[in-house]
Amino acid sequence: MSKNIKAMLAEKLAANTHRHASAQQETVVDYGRTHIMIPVEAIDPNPYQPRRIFPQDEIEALAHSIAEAGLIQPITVRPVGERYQIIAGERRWRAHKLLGKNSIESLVGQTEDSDMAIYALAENIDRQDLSDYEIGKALRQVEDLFPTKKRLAEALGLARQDMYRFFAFEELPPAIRTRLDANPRLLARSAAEGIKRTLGEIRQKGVHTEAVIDECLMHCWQLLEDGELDQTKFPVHLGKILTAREQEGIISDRQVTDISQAGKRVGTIVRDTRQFVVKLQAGVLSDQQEIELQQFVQALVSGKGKVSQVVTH
Amino acid sequence: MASATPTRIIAVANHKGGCGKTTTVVNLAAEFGRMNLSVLVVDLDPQSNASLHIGKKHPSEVTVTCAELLLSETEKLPLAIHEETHIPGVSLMYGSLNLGKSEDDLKDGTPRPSEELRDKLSPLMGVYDVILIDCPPSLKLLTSNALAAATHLIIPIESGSQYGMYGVTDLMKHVSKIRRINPGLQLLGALLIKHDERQTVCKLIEGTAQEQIGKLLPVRIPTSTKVNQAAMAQTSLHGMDRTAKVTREFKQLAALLAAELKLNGKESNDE
Repeated sequence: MSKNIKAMLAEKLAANTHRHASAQQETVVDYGRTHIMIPVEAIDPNPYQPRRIFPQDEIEALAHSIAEAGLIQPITVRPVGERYQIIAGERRWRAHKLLGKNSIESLVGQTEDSDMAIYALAENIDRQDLSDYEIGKALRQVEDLFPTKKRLAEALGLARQDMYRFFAFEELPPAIRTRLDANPRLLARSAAEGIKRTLGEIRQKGVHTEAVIDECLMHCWQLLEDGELDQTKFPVHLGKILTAREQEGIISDRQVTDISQAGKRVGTIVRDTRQFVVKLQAGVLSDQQEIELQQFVQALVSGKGKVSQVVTH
Repeated sequence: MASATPTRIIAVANHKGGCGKTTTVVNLAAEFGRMNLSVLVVDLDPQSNASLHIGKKHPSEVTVTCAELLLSETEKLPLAIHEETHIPGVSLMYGSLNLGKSEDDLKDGTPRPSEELRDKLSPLMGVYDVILIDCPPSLKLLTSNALAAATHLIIPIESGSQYGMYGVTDLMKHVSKIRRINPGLQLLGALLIKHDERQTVCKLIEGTAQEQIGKLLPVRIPTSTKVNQAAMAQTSLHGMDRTAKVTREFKQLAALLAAELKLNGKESNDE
């Protein structure tokens, strides 16, 4: 036998043995799970999926990579009636749909409802691409499945203190949470906890009305959305402007008058040393009324008189 | 490639281990492929040696192997066929460790446990010229499925081995049972493997095999290290050493079977 063949055989033997040894294990692990191609149309997302937003550009990037390199890891599904539900891999499934693929490589396993939520959550927490706000919401969904919060934290591999930070989002005013629904990544759990603490301190002092607190909060939020305020500085900044407001209120004779409609506050008139502000929620006045108000103010400011006519019109 | 002649399904079966089933399947497939016949190898052995030998993937990486196909609907058939193998012209349906489990599930879950493979392969009639089925070393359901699906049968026997002969009676009984559901099954003959005509034991087994099985294929496969070399190198005997005696014997066997089965292969030129 020539030396070449000897070397080739030795190399082949080593490669074959290695290939088989490393493959064998997987077969045992996946035992009892079926590994099949499933039509994309026969698959539904996990109803317990905490992720609320699947950015189109991320799905497109993933689709591009799947088109180039193929699906590296099959998605995991469970059978529900005639169809399948995703346990893990919603992004990969969406990318397949985007690519117009008929079927997707899947592992089929049996999973309980409670585990579906935990899997989806655990997978996303591990990968760190789910926002803290979404995790906080998802934690509430699954907490009843555990006897204590401590056990919940353990099941997810979180420190207990850290887990409580996720719950801080719930203490934020509804207005902020509505904005977070649309843009969950803007605020991390530590910032949320900081805001919660600042709000607690302010309320304890009792110098500001809820309306003023909300106003300052939304002011900071706008700065955050505009990228002018770093989220880590949010709690401090909020504290600062509220304190400033407090002092301003003492020096200036700031007056706030509520405007009500059918017993509900729909706006304010604020007067201080610098400004006179009339604020109304959108829709309180009809289009016609808004035009009249503008004309009225214009007439008033330009000092042309005949004010009473406009008003009584 | 799709010929006018009907597809021949050849089961290579013997519940004795190590008698040369996989070697026969792989090299017959390779020689048929070289005759420009379209060939499919169906690996029903949980050890999946044929798949490990000619397959480009490891069986554990394959989505639909014989194990999944047997327990599924026919729609999976296209996913089970892999046209790319290490042997030109030869397609493969992979074996899998899970075939052991499939065997149990077949027993419980199907009305005709022995006829699932026949059912699953039926859409391929007329598509391939030859389908070769590599059987596991047992007489259980997987082998029954192969025998029920087959049109023809080859029984490889390790020449000179007393142990190899013991099982032949049981095998022949099993074959006659299977003929109740597959009356058309034809025995092509016993194939003596690792044969050495100088040895007394080989001569003796030759006589007994003729007696017990009734039909011996006229080709004798000699012992050769090339067989193991080819398996290691993941190629056919032809790919390993086209002039070796063992290679020539398989070539002759393929030619002979092609003639007997009226396969319309074009004679290949030995480039």
